[in-house]
Amino acid sequence: MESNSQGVKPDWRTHLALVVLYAGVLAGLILGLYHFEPEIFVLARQRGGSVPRDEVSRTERAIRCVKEFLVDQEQIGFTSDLSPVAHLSLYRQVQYSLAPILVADSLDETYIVAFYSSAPPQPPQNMEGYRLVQDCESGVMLFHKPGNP
Amino acid sequence: MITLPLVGLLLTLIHGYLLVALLVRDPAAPRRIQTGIHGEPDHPEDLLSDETGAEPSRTQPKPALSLRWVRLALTFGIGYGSTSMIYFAWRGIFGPPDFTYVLFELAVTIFLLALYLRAGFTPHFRLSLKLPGFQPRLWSVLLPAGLLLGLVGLLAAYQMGIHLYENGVTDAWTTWNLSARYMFRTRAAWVNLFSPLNTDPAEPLLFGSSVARMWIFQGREAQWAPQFFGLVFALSSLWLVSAAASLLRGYWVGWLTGFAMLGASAWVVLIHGQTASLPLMFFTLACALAFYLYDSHTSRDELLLVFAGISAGLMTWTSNAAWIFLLAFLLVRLVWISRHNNVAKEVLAWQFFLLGFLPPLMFTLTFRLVFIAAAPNYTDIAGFLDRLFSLEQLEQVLRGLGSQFVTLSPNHMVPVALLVIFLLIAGRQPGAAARKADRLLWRVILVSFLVSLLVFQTAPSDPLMPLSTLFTRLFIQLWPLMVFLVMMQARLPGIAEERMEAASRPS
Repeated sequence: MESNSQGVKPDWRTHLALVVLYAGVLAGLILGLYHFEPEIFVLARQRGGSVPRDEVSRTERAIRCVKEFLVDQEQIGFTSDLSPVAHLSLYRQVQYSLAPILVADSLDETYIVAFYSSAPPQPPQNMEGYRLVQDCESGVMLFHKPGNP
Repeated sequence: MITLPLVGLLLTLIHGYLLVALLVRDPAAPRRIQTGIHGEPDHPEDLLSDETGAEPSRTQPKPALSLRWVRLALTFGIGYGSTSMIYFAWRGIFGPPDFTYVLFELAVTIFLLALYLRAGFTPHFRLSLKLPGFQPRLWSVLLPAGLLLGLVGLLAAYQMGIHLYENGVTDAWTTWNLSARYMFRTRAAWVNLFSPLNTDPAEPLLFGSSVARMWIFQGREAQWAPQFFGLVFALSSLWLVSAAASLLRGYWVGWLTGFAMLGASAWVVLIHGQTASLPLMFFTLACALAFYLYDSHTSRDELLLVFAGISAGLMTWTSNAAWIFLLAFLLVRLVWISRHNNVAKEVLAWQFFLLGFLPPLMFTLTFRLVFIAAAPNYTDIAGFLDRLFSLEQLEQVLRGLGSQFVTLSPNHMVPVALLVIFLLIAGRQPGAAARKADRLLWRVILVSFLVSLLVFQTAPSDPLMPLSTLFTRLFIQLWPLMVFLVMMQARLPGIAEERMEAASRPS
């Protein structure tokens, strides 16, 4: 590489390095774009439908129907019939949706938000003494222990 | 409630610009520029005006074009950091903000403006784009075209991401957006945020405060605020690394640096994510670059170290992961001092650094005190020690590290390998290997990885935040620094004249 008024002149190594970098960067970008599965957007546009949302957004919508009953509550309980990891994920989604109410992953609270992936037994397991306050028909139910505020 | 989000953004910008202009001054301003890292200055007679008895100007000289780009790149990030602290202080002292809060922010802005004008600055907003003057002309077209194409791709990825994941990636809604909701929704018991029932109540509040502050201006919760917040920090980091490379090695290398940063798919797919990794990346870059400029003698202005300190303080206000980098940074510099016996100079540098570091750190410490009061049983020292000596945990960490080599998308190793191959083919600049600034920064990156392995070893496992996610966060924090260093080291047609542009102009 020789010096000139612009600093240094590029040689074949510079050109080769730039070609490799250029190709690599473009490949990285394409990989990044394909991570989002752009074909979903194309299909949705072709069919005139909407792109499916993520889980937490769906949970936010599903849980709206119980919010009005919990306005004055500081802490509530939570239960579900899901596998442990799915239960944990849903529990955090509920916490996010209902903030600033604190959600305890237990059945020791006056109000309990329950998620059932299938029709629950009547009365639901471990919910003896609780009264159904709201059934949102999306698997979300709100229970209250009578006698408590 | 106010319903003027643009006012909020404008105040963020003004705060950021004034702070940056006060602290990141033109290298010619202190008139103590030494020979740069790329050879002799182009106009030594201007640099030596103090010695030649030239009358010093009452006003600051007009900054070099590249430096103005650097300042603008820093503006939004520093503005967000500063206003988030103001919001947090108000929230803690006076309760939920209302219209008087906006008046208070305006008053602080006027105070900063008065400082700025008193320091003799005049705003320079005129910017122009210089196309790279590189022969043959093919690259002059290919590089800007590639950068433009890359930015379009980046925005497309962002758009798809916010459409699919309205509330961001997992840690966005389990931690960062959750804290914003607590700050905004609760009138009194906002400290419930620190309940052990929450996922990670120990994380600091730059993200939460900034987003909640924007919701105050908006008048209601709106998901555009955290989405925009993440995008701004991602683009600011790209801009900053590009402008810094341009300042040091000319526009051509600046374009190339920005383009190379787009090659990390792990970063591209996280821009929509609404996580603190994006501001953390920005502040890490700002802190490291300020020290780099100082260490490389491009600027000997101590205010730059104050700025580095502020950036480091904002890192601690952003995320606990900041301490990985800061610990590595401290270790590397201590070893350097002990081996090179330049204690006096280094102590002076650290004094200026601490001057900037302590104010934002006060906010982080205040947050910690509130947190400890609200969640006294959160600390789990026995669990920490168990994990530290657990072979099972070590196996998981090593497996996680190994999986990074085989995962295709998003991948961390391929972009790093690409940079290494690029450097091997292009070759190193003569003398680059011996430069103090480069050597220190390489070591900080390496030690950061080692410290992070220790953190992964002692961190409790979380099924929703697997080790691969933690590796991604660490990679993203350090990625722009890796790109920057490779471009500083590579034998490329760089020129130093822009760096000296300010000095060559008449005051």
